[in-house]
Amino acid sequence: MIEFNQVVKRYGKVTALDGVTVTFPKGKIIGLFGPNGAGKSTSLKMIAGLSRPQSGTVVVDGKNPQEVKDKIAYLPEIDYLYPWMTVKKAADFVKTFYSDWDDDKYKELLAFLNLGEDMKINKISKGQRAKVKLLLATSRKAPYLLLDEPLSGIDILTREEIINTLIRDYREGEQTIIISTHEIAEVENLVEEVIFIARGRILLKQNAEELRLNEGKSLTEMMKELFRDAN
Amino acid sequence: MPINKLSVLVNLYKKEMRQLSLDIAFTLGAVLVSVIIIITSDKSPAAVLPFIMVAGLAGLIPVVSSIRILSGEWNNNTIYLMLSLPIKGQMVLGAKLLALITHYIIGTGTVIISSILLMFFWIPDFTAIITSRFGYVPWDWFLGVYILTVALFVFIASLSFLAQVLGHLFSRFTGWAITIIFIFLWWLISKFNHWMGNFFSVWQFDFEPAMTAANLLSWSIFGTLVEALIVFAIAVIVYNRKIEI
Amino acid sequence: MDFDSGRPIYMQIIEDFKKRMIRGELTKGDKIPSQREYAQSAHINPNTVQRAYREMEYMGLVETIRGQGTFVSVSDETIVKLKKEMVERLVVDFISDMKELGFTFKEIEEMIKEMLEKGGFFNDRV
Repeated sequence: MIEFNQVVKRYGKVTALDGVTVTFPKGKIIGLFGPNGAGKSTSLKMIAGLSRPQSGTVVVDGKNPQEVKDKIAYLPEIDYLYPWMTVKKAADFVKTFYSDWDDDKYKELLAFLNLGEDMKINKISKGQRAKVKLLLATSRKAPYLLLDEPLSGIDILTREEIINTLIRDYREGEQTIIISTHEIAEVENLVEEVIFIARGRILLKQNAEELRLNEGKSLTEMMKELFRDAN
Repeated sequence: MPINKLSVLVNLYKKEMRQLSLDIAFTLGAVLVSVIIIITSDKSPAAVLPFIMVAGLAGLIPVVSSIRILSGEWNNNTIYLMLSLPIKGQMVLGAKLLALITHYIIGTGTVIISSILLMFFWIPDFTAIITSRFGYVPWDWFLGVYILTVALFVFIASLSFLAQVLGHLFSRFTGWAITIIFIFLWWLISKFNHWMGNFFSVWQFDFEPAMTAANLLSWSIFGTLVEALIVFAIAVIVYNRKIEI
Repeated sequence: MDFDSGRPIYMQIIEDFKKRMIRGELTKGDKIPSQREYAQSAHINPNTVQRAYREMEYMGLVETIRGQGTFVSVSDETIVKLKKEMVERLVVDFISDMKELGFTFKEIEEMIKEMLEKGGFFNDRV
């Protein structure tokens, strides 16, 4: 379980998180939805231990995120791999750090995602780089998988591949997947729990099916409505 | 499979060495070119000049590399990867420091070896001279001085790391911040060394010149390494506690 | 199938299966996709599919045999019941829509009769 308690984060004059208190339940696929600059990336960075709150606390399984980095597979939006690495080099580099790396799974996903081990990071397309990031993150059996805008700027076929991989790989009940995105439609039916965030504040957190039942609206429509009111 | 700390360090070290491969290739290339200049020249003393310059470069390039190897992580966004890995600053900076020391030793070692080889080329009866005078050559001094330069390099690299991690606490003008912090720390530590030197010389009487010199050398090595260690430790603490993106 | 994102997905999954059973596309003993397969092909959260399957089991529409998969177990009586339920709902919806437009029962009845006699486009489909 991940708990944010009154988390505040400012970058200069910009407030990224403005007193966020929220709980990410364990074992679910959770959508963290909001417009650009809402605080989605900052939230994920805090869970992954890449950023720290100025006040308030972030707790992962009862511990400081800095202490449980081995439980988290973090997939940032930007390209964070060394450009000179091949897929194999990157995998060999990453797997040394994690005891939950699964070589069989890696081989299987490599084929499923149509990637080659000798592909070089700086020679492949953006979509392929996104798949390599996903490959490295999902070849582990990490209890937490954090995906920051995993589909943005990716072609439609690759989006399908990414979503298929996530569903295929998802271990219900034991794995928590948090997907942050401003384009909801693609993952609308994939998420079980939704958290809407805008301007560093949580607007709503609810079970997706309950929300559909109670409001009779799609998550996309809900988001439009919420953010219109928020602005 | 449980995680082996040594294999983690080796893994990081290998990555850093790959990052430095260009720098090392450049250093070796420069040495090679200057050696060729000497060999193809007409044995005029001026031909040695580029070689001396390259000898200096072999020590300086690793200092420049220390910036590339650490700040490069921010420039390439690979800092996201480094910070997400379940490792602490001691591992990250330790592997980088080891790689830089390797770089320094490869560069300066090549210079030393090629200068010895050049002696055979330059002085026709060098073999005879060296065999007859072997016992008179102060090898331990050479070694001591070389170790001192390694210690100095470790100190400078650590200081460069500290200046960089402090500089990266600023989101803007990072380059300027690093430069200013480096110069300031350098000035601060020289002040401290000067004061330490004065302090110790008061009671360190040793009238035999050779002994004084030997003491001075070993104390310099020791003192430099201690300072390097302290500066490195502070850099690690800053990295662990403050660095974020 | 395409889901209407404005209604609970698990309900739509159940409705989809019910329709296929009523149409006879799925009959007793037929194997249906595993939950994981269904989730993957429809891009749906596996827990949502699980909920739909669980409710269908509860309603007696399907049954899961360990190690073999999930099979249609709907009885003929249930099919008749399902048909009736669905027809009732369609008719009720239709009538209430018409009422909303301001038609009386009498008018509605006559319109339907007229349509059927004319062999309107509804007949083309049947």
